[in-house]
Amino acid sequence: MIELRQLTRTFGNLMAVDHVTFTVPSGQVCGYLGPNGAGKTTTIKMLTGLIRPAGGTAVIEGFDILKEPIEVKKRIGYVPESGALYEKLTPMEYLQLIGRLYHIEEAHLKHRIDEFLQLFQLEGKENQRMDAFSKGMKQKIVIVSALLHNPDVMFFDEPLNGLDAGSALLVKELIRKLADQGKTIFYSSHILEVVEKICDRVVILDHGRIVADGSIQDLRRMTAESSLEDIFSQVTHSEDMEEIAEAFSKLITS
Amino acid sequence: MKAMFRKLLQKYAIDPIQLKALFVASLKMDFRKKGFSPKGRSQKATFWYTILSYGMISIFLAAGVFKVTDVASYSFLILTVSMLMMAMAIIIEFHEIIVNPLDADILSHRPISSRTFFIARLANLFFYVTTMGAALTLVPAVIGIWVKGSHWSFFPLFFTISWLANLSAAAYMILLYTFLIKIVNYDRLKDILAYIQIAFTFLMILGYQFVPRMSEHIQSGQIAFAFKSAWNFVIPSAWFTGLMAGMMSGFSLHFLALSVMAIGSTIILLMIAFRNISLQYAGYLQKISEKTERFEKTPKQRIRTVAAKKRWRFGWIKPGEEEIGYELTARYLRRDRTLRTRLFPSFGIPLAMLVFFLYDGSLKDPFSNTAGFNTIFPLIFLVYVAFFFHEIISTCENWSASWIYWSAPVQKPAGIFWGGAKLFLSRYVLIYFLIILAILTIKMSLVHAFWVTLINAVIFLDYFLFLALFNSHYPLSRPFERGQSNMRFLFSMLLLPVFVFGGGLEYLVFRFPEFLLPAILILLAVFFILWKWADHLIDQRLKKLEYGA
Repeated sequence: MIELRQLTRTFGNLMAVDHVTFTVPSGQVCGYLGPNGAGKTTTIKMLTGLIRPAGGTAVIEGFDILKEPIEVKKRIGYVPESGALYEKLTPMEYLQLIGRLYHIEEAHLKHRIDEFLQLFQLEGKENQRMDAFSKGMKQKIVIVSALLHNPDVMFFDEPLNGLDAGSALLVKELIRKLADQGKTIFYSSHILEVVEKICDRVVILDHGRIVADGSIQDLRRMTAESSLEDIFSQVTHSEDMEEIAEAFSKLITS
Repeated sequence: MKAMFRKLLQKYAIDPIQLKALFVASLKMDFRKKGFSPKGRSQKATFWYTILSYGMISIFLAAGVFKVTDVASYSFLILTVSMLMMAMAIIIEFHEIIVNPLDADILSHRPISSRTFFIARLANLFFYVTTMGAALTLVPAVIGIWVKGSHWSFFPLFFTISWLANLSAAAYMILLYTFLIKIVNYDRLKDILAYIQIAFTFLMILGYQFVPRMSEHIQSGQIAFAFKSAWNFVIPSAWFTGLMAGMMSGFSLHFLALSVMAIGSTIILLMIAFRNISLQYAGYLQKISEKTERFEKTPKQRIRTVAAKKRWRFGWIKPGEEEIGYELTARYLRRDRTLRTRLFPSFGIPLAMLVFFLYDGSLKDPFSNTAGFNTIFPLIFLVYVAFFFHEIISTCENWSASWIYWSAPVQKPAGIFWGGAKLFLSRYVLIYFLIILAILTIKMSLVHAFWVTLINAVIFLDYFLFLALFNSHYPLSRPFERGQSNMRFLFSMLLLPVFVFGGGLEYLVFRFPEFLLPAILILLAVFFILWKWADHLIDQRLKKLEYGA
């Protein structure tokens, strides 16, 4: 379970995350949406211990992120938007490093890495350096490194970046299955179709504040819109996209 | 034993399994070739270049002074250079071992205690301090046996004490770096590091000028430092010299005080690192993570019309590729602090030397019979400016954006390079020579100052074009690499023979002024030939170049 309590973060005069409060219960996939700069990644970075909140706090699996960060970190898995890896290492070396940081037993670790790599069709690549990998292959390793220690809570920030269609389908299915097993999933993305498909609940953020929170059905009822795309446009006041696109196309062809 | 060590680590909240995993992974990465390209420069090779360059510096220094100093002065000179080099290497090249932005992205959310993380990075740094320190002091420790008043025990004593001194220099830099992270944001930190780098560069290049001023006397070529002065207590290398001199010849009260300061400061520094910094290490990583979240105001754009810009250039820049290279390089030389700070100090060196010689009174009109080598010496150093430009201009923090060169329909790739080169020559080098001209007029007539400046400018242009023959990259198209500064330093030392040519030529034309104008004309002819040749070579090379290579 994730519990955000008045979580706040400022950068200079800018309020990036403004007293955000909500709870994600175990077994739920919570979609976290918002336009660019709304504060989604900042929220996730605070929850995963990358940056400190300016105010408020959060409790993950019963542990406060400020008071017991190590206990929180033992229980979470995080797929960052940056997809950062130590690319000079091979997948085996990198995943072994990650596994050892979580104290996974050596014999079990090797076996587990092999299985994960096989599922992502990376068998045979385990001893090649990752700086020669495609973006999708690197993203698979980032996902494996987040799941390797079997965390109870998972944060996904644009996890489908660069993945091929088959792998994207696999990850989407995987997220649903993990939620069914009782894991808590925090899913941030701009791909509304995916959010609509896999999330039980959607929280929409705009200028650091929650502007919508509920299941897709709830939001449909509230906004009288049929798709998540229309709901998103309405609550973030970005309805005039068609006009902008029209102006753009004229500019390109002029 | 192993179990005891584990228990000891655990007692201080250090996880031995994580510590080993982090340390081994860091070393693996440090010694692997950079980039996937088979042409990528090996980090291992860069490291060995560093070791080699340090070894060379130490040999030159030790061989140069061992006959003219006593044990204390010899130790002081070597320890000062060694500690300075170590501090410079850590703050410029190896500071990312202490706190790395990539660690913030990959490891900040993992359950690693602050202290485990810090000790792992410290162990990594310790490896470099030990190897680089050995390169700087091993040969001087051997040579030191033959210094006046020395004996065989100099070697083990000096080697051990210099290791301690280097460790102390590293600890100062860790303290400085972590303190800076604490008080300023990451972008500002990079600015400050850049200024420190400039200060160190000046200190390294011009430091030898201070040596005679710090000596008690230089009689019959003998250098002896004043080891009873109060200044001993403010220079860390003097503290370790006190320890060394005390071990070799017995402890006077002064040496004892210096020794206490040497050992005491090292222990205090390490304790601060272990007790304070290690516990705040996770906080430093968080601070670095925030860099991407900082919102900056857009700088005020200078509004200038395209027409006005074009008028200013007088047809010097061709439209198209050259213009692109010119504009891009202009912006990056203004905004990329790493680029700026690696390039611009090279300008300061000859300028500072000129000012130094002006102050000393040794700057004289080279046309007069009484002129010494000093007048032309700083100007000859300009070859470094040309060398640094070619070495640095292909590197950039945003190098990966250079894919545009490959995807855009570029007709003449060399044009982009020449755009950057012309920007450098017209906006920086030209102004620079005008400043030199102004300085020279203080000590000579305007006409003489003009000729001195002109021939130096033409020699500079020839050097610039000669070095351009070896250029094989677009401007701003490669990443900076750790160890690059050290490699540059080594290569610049290898360039020393080139000075002889320029110096010799200048000496001749000032002694026989009737050859001045023909010499300038010949040098200009060489310049145009080199330009055409370099243009062809660079164009061919860039057409074959692959992105990321």
